[in-house]
This record gives sequence, structure tokens and C-alpha cells, in this order.
Amino acid sequence: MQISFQNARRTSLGIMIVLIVSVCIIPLFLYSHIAGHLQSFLISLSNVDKSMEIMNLFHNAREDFDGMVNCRCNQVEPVNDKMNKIITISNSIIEKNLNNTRLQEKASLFIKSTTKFRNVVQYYAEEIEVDPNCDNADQMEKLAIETKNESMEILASFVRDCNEDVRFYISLISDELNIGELLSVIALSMGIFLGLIAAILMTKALAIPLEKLIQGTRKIAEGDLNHRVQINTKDEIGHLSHSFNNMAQKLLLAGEQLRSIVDSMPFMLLCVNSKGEISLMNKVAHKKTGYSNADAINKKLWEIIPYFKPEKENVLATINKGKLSINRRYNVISEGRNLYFDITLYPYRTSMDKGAVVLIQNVSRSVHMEEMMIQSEKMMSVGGLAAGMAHEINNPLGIIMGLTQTIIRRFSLDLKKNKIVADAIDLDLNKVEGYMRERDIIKSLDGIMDAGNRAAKIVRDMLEFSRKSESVRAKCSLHNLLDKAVELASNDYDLKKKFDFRAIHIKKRYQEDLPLINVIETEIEQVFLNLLRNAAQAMADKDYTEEERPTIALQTMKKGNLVQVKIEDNGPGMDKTTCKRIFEPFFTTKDVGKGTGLGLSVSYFIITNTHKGDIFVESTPDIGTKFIIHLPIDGVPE
Amino acid sequence: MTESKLPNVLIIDDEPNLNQALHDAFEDYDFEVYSALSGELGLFQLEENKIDVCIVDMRLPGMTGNEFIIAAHSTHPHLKFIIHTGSTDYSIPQKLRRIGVEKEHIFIKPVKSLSELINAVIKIYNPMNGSE
Repeated sequence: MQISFQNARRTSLGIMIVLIVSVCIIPLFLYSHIAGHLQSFLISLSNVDKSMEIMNLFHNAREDFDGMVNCRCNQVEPVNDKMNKIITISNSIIEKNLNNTRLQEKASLFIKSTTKFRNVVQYYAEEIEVDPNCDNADQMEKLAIETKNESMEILASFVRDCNEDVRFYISLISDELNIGELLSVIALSMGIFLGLIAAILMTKALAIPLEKLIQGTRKIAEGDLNHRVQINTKDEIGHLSHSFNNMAQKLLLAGEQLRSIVDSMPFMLLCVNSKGEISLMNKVAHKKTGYSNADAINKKLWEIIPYFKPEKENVLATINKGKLSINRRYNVISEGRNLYFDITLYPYRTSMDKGAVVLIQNVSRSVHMEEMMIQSEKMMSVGGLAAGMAHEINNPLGIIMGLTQTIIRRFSLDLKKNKIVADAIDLDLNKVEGYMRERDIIKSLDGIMDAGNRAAKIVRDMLEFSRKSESVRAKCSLHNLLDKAVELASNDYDLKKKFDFRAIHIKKRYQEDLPLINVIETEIEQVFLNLLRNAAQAMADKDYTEEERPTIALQTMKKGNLVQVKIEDNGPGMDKTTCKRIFEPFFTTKDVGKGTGLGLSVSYFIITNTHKGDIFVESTPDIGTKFIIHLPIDGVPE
Repeated sequence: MTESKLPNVLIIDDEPNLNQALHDAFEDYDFEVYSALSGELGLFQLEENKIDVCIVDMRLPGMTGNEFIIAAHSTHPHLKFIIHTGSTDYSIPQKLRRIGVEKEHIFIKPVKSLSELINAVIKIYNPMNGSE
């Protein structure tokens, strides 16, 4: 049975009141009762006293009367005096014993007889004074003696009554005192009994819930935060349990919140102790390592994350020294992919153990982005430089070519004016022309023109970087553009000389319902053609086996608000350095004169600058190269 | 090409050597050629001589090629213009389009052969026989 502390207290309070009543009120009541009796007892004692006095007086008065009788002389005064005293005392007895009617009656009877006796004695005295030996005197004497005896009898009975009264009150009081004792004993034992009950109730109400609370704290201390104390009373213990449960709930919530904060971290978070053993992992860590909490606990960090193996000593040293360690851009090659991690070790120290919080952030994407940013920045500055330079070169180039043409023209036999001027100074222009041909001067001049033209072409290509195209953007199907580029590549005469594009297997994996996108058709086509041509030229340098056909895979795919075009060959591939520099202007792996090294740079600018897209390359030596182009579907505002 | 059909040409280019080269080329083909090293001098030449076609560089000291064309057109509405510029990103301003400058009248320096310019001048002056 569950007894609330408050109820127990109320009960105890009741018991206390009962005890106070029984211990205080009963004796008080008894006392007031006994006090009344004691007063009566005292009165009765004084009655005895007075009756004794009366008896003495009466005795003396009788002796006086006897003397009077013996001498037959009038000596009435002493008797009278004593009689009056007796009457006064008797009257005072009557006054004091208002409650005792029996005694009052007796007293008044006594007074009556005493008065009679006094009167008789008075009368006798008067008679004997006249004639001491008269008959009347004898009669009077007889009467007086009779009255005296009567009074004596009444007095005796009165005294007896008084004594009886005293005895009665003594026994009464003694009885009452006995009852009081009994009652006190009863009250005491009742008090002890009730006290015991109160104690039991208090124990039940206090000790049992307290025990529950203690168990609760123990369970929570052991980590069972879901434990709740089941006490629902409305007293202090109940409040305490409620607060306790609240606290447990808050602890649970705080724990859950902390857990969810740790879990919501978008990177791997682990805690290790001084030996490098795992004590906590967050969700990402579970996902990335494939270890559940139970599997991971007490396993070493480097057992769970293999790339920590070379860092084992470093990790332990960091924990021991208690110094923060940040390892940026930790390069890990996983499944042929280059991954970068920022690894941070935050050492911590508790009174029990040392350890560290390990944060592992995959920064491959941002490293990649950063590389692209650097690339793009480099390209932009080169582009800007090239454009500025081109302007400055065009003028002198124009002069060189213009003046060279003037020279060629003015030695020409075809121009009328030359002949007129030559004739005027008597010069044989034919001879001059013959000489120039013999000495290869014309050829040299043509060489200047050729070189000039080549330089002009390079400059023009360079100017593509900053060129604001006048071409109009239109919604185009990238599939059509790819097909057109393949067609152009197949008919490329230069390409055919070295490597027949038709020998290449073209694998198309186009996504159906690919959205049309807003591009400058000719430019994108130029980019595709460039990539196809480069692929074909590179593939010419690889010896293919029977099973492996030279293949170019074209793939399109919608990716969010982007369209991705992948052009992948199974050519000889490139090493890392080449990959890094591939978009740089004038960087070429082709033989001198075969390529300007501008094709991919121009493509890069067309995609990133003009179309606000992305182009990047992935290549593995001997496996092949893929170019990935992202173009925004919405196009860009012009 | 008969002499009577050839237009008078004004070459405006601040680069003396290039100006000279063009001048010589036109002269060799019997054109009446005038040269100016700036737009301002060009306008002066227009007042002094009868000019039919101007070959105009864009980047000039003082007034730009565009400004020259607008100024020249306002006083000599019959004038034709060929633009000879070093910038590949040159685009024709609206005002020049209204005057009649078109994409085919723009030549980017350096031209492969000066004969391209000579042909263009002939064509713009007499559109019917230009192709000859």
C-alpha cells in the first residue's frame, strides 16, 4: 500500500493531538474534579475541628451547669457565655456547609436544642436565685438535664457525621486518584501504540519512496536515462520525484540533443581514448566506415579507418601531448580516386583518461573546386594578356605584311606602273625579276608573308578568349550538335591523312528528353569538334588489340539545372602533369606545327566564359581520357 | 577596271608605315589616294579633296574612327566607309549601321592580302562591278 507522506504527517499530527489531550486534558479534568472534593474534604475537616470545639465548650458549659446545680446558686453567666459561642460556631458551620443539607439540618437542630438548654438554664438560674429549694427548681433541673442530654446526643451525632464526612471524602479522593492513575496508564499506552502506528506510517510514507528515489538515481547514474521513478503522491516526496523525473527527462533530452548535434555534423566525428580506441562515433562515421557502434567500440582508430595506419604514432603523440593537430589535405587514394581529407585531432583530458576528438572532413570537392578556380584564374589572366597582346601585335604585323606586299608588288612585272618607273631610269625590270628569282628573294618575301599569316592566325585564335561573340544564342539540341561534330570529324581531311575517324566506334548514350539549351550553336559545335579531333589524334598513337576497339563514348545527362556531356575515349590517356596543363594556351603535346595549343584553351573559354559552364578532364594513362562538360540549362543572360 | 570608275580613297591610320603601305597599294593600282594620320586631319582632307571611300582605323589619337565616320557622313553623305581595325571584338554601333556600315565592310588587321581591301573599296563604290 502506498501512503503519502502528507497523509502520514496528517495522521501523526492527529495522534499528537490525541496524546496531548489524553496527557493534559484528562488530568486537568481529574484535577478539577478532585479539587472540588478536596474543598469539601477541607470543609469537613474544619467541621470536625469546630464540632470538637463545640464539644469542649459544651462539656465546660455542662460542668458549669453541674456546679450551678450543686450549689444552687445563680452562676448563669459562664454557661450563657459558652452557649452563645456554641451557637455562633454552629451558625458558621451552617454558613460554610451550604451544600451539605444533612449537616445543616443537624446543626440547626443542635442550635435549637442548645438554645432551649440555654433558655432552660437561664430560667433555672432565675428560679434558684429566688428560692434555691423550691419545687420548681427540681423540675427545672430535670428539664435542663434532659435538654442537655438531648443536645449532647445531637452533638454526638453531629460529630459522628462530621467524622463520617471526612472519611467519605478521603475514600472518594483516594478512589479518584486511583482512577486518574489508571487513566494515565491507559493514555500512556495508547500514546505508545499510536506513536508506533505513526512511526510505521512515516516509514511507509518516507522510507519506501526514498528507497525508490535512491534506486532511480543509481539507475540514472548507470546511464539508464529512460528510467523514471513511479511516485505520484502530491506531497514533498511526490514533488521531489516529479522534479527528479523532470531532471532525468532533461538529461535524456540534453543527451539526445547532443547526440543529434553530433550526428548532424556533415563530417566524420569520432572520440578515441589514450590508446586510440573508439569510444564514440557519429552517423557519418558509421556510414563511411561501415562499423556500427557496438562493432567499433574499443577497436583502434586505425583498424576502423585504414588510412590512419601510417598516422598511428602521430595520433598517439597528439593525445599524449594534448596538442591540437590539424592535417590538411591528407591525400588518400581510394578505389582509384584521389580523395583529400582535413583531419583534425582535438585532444581532451578528463580526470579518468586522456583522449581526442577526431574530425575527418572530406574536402576532395573543395580541393577540386579550388584547383578549378586556380585554373580558371590562370586562364583568365592568360586570356586577358593574350587579348591585349594581340591588339598590339596586329598593327606591326599589318605593317610587316603590308610593306612586304608593297615590295613584292613593286617588283612585279604585272604592274604597269613598275614598268613605267623602270623605263624612266632605264632599268630592265625583267632582269631584276630574274635576279630576284635566282636569289630566292621572292621566295623569302613569300616566306615573310606566310609567317605573317601564321602569326596573324595565332593572334586571331588568341583573340577568341576575349571576343564578344555577335552570334545569337538559340535553344539547341546538344544531341544534334554532337552528331554534327561527329559528321564534321569524319570528313576532316587533315584527320583522314593520319587516322580515319570512321575507324573509331562511336558509342552514343544520349538521355532521352534532354532539354534544349540556350547556346551559341557554332561555338559549342567547335568545342565538340575540338574534343573529337583531339581524341582521334591521340588514339592514333595507341596500338589496339583485337578485343579493344578504338571507341569514343558520347554521353548526355540532365543533372539538376545542368546538362552534362561526357566525351570519353579509350586512347593512350595522359599523365597528371599533362592533365593539369591541358587547357593552358600554347600547351600542346602535338608535334611542332601540328597544333597551336589553342584549341582546348578556346574550348575552355567558350564553355566557362561565354556559356558559364564547366569543363574538366579526367585521364588515366593507357585507359583513356574523358572530358566532362556542364552547361546550365537556362543559359546565361546576354 | 577602267580609270574613270576608280573612286578616290582616303586612308585614315595613325600608323605611318601601315598608312604608307595601303597608300602605295592603292596608288600602284591607279587610285587617287589621300592619307591622314588622325580623324581630325581626315576631316580636313575631306574639305580639300573630292573623296569617295574612306578606309578608317578605329583606334586613333583624338577622335575615334566611329566619331570620324559620323562627322564625315554628316557633311558628306555620299561617302562610303571601310573599317580596318586591329580589334576582333569590334561590333558596329547602331549609328553606323544606319549610315550603311555592314559586317562585310569590316576588315580585321592584318588582312591576308591588301587586294582584299582594294576589292572591297571597288565593290562599295560601285556595287554592280565590285566582284571584278
